[in-house]
Amino acid sequence: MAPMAESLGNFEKLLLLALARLDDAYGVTVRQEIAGRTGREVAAGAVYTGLERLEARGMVTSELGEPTPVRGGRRKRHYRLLPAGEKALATSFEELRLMSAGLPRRLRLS
Amino acid sequence: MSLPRPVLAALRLLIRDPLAHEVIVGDLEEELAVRRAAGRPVSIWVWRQALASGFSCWRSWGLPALAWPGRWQDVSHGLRLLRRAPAFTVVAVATVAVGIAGATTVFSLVDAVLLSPLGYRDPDRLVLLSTTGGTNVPSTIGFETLHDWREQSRSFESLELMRDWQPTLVDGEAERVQGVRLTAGGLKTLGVTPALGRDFTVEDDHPDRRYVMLLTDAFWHRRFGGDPAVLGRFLNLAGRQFQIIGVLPPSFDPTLLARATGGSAPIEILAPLGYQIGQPFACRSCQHLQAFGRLAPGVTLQSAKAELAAIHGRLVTAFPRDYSDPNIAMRAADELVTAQARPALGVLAGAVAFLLLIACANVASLLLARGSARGREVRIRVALGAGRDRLVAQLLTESLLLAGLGGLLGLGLAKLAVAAVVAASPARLPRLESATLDFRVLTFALAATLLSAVVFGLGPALGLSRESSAGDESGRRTLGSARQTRGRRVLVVANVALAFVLLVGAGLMVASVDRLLAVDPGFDRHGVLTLQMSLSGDRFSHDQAIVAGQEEILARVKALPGVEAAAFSGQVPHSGSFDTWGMEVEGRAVREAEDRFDLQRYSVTPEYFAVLKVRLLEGRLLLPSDRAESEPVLLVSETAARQLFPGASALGKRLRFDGGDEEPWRTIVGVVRDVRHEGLSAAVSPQMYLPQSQRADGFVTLALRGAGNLPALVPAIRREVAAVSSEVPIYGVATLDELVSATTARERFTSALLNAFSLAALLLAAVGLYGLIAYLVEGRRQEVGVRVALGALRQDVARLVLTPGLVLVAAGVALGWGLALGLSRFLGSLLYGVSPADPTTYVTIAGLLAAAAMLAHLAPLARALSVDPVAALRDGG
Repeated sequence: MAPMAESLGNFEKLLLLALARLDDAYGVTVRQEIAGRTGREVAAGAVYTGLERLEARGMVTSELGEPTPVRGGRRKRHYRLLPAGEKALATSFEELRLMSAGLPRRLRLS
Repeated sequence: MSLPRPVLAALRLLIRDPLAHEVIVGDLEEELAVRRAAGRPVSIWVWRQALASGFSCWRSWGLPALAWPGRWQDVSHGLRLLRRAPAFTVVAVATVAVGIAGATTVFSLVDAVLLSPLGYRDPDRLVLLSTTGGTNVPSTIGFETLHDWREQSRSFESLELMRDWQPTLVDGEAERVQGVRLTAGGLKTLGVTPALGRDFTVEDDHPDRRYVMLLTDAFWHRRFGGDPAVLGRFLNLAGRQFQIIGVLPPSFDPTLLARATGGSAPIEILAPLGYQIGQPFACRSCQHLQAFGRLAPGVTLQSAKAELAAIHGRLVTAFPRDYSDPNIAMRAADELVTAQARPALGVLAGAVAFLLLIACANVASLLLARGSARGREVRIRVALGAGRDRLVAQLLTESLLLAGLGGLLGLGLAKLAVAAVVAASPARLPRLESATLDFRVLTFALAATLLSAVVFGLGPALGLSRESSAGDESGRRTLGSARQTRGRRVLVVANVALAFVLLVGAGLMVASVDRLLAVDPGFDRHGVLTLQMSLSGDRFSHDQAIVAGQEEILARVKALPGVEAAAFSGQVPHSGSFDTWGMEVEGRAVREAEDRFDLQRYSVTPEYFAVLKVRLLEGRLLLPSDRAESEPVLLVSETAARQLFPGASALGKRLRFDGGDEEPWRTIVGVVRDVRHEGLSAAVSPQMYLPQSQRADGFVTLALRGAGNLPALVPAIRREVAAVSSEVPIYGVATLDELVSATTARERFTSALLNAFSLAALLLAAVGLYGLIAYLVEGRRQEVGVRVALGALRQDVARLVLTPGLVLVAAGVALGWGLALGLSRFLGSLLYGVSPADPTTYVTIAGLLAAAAMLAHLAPLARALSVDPVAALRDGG
């Protein structure tokens, strides 16, 4: 089977979900969101490489922001979820829901 | 708030994309400020973030500025995989190591002997030259001839002469020293300057003033402990006082000068030649000197030779009686020094190329098999989105790991092997002792490693990734698909063919050496000790004194425990010396030089024939009763008898040394067996034996036969000889066995190396075959199960397993046979008594490979026979 455009890695799902939750998603907020909810500490570079990959697959989009003094005059990159990303997430949940239906409670998607 | 400088530097290094760099650094600075403000620890966090970010960007945005397309993750993954499959890893790494060790070892030897220039200034301009060179191999020249060449020629910067010199050094214990005498400009021509003292001058190079000497560094240390005060000291050499004027540097390369001395012993002292025209031994036809020269800058060897040929042509016209052959010989010094070793090393280099090929093919085959086994893993990676380039990168990383490990191990092995080969090598391979693993050899080994990594890594890697993207849902056996199996079959056939060629080469050498060693030398080489000594000086000034001295020494030596028989001889076979004399036959006029018969002369004491066990064929041996005053007698060898007196008995006939009427006629009283004098493979020369009592030699060899450890007798013999005269030096101690071994050393050396290579090749071929067969059998377990379930017998299963492998071996042998027939002629000059197409060898080797093939089949066959049909079918369901 050919690599599916829709199939998502676990980390990619976390990134998409973070974008879905955030009003202003950029490196720092994405990492704080993931760390705050899952307890996972993620490297800044890993966030960007992951988002870059998702952007290449048409699931997210980004734009450069303005330089701010707190960043030593450096710019941010703001990310936004695209419909393809939302659809991929939905598909992924649907698959999980279908696969976990009827299983004991501890294995079910809540 | 900004990041620490080293963190920034690391990030700049790791993140090349400027935009990514800006965004990430900005993020980190922002968060750093927040953390600081909250009073959370930052230093470890900052480093972890920086490095993790850097590496993830380096891998993905970044910057494949490196040729190696893999990632660090691949390395750790590869190492983990290798650790998990120890059998595969060991075999693959060992295969690479063997291939690389072989290549590096032989490259080191070839490099030392063939590729490294002689250790002189501009060695490519040094030539050796001589008169009479029908074969263009420079031999000897007369002093006056070279004098005229020097006067008339414009092609040379310098032309020099040298000669062998073996004086007895009397300074405490008498010792024979190997020296060389050369013209004043000799060392300058080579580009050698004394480390201490001065070089010879034109003043020194004169009959009356020639008594000065230079010492080599080794002799200076051995004899004088490296004491600089030796300068100016006098040494007594053969009764003359020589003044030490200098010491040569340790780097002095005696290779070229050793041609004058025959290389029998290392040169230790140098002195001026000191000849002058008008001396009886300095004539045109007095051919006992050797010439070398340095071409003038820009002059080619051809043009220099053409000019000399013209000059010499005029000399031959002017002095026709002095020159029997109008030709001259001239060759590049470098070429001549290595000429003898060239064929053997060429063959070895070829053998190593084959071994390296086999190793590469084998590892490729192993990796293919492994790729098949890992099909599932690869397919999962593809399903998870791994691109073809990533897969190739990872597989290539694994190959590089294998090659790297194998290369390291191989280099270690090679280091040991070179040392072992140098230690075991025959002295007659010039410059071999200088072989070490040097920088260039290291480069070569690394190149070989990388080459094999690419050769055996990329092929399977590309094949695998192609297979994997084709996709197959069954999840079983998919990657062992037809293409790869075909590839492995081709590799196995190639391996068998290459191994066959190597084994045939080794087999031919073994047969040749066997035949050589089986040659009857005409004497018994076992249980004989030989010692050379020189009865010279005042006490031995005439023949009777020498004979008396010999008899006294013999009487004392024979009284030593363990000595059965002892004799003196002017020379013994295989010692490297020659003593050929022109003889005149009574009743036959000598008109031309061709009417003389050249016989190899042995002047011996009567027990010689008991010591060497040279058999009498006709007449009688020499007796103690053959004295100076009795009738002059001699023995001849069977070949001499046949050549001198075809169809008639030699007994009673008379010969005399060619030299006029003052030479007495000597009567032939016996005929003895031929002795192979020069070497086992050399032609038999006609020989004669005279009593020492009727023709005494000052330079003699004491040969004694005894039981037990003969070399242990040497100190006792030295004592007995010293008791007769303290001025008789003893040197060149060797058993006859050792002398004979030395003359076959090159053959045994080549043979041993080829054997090592071909054994490795056989092993590798068997491993490769085993890998393929095991894999094929594994893939057909289900089929075997079905067949057994349907009633197939054990022999049917056996046929199923054996047929494909044996077909491959047969194909490999057929291919190898053809290759070997084509290539073995390069062995021609190294073989003795065996044809390069010797059918026995070929058939034996084919049998050997077949046997190895059967062995490689054993385990897979046992596995197939033990297949439980039920289990096999269930697995396959």
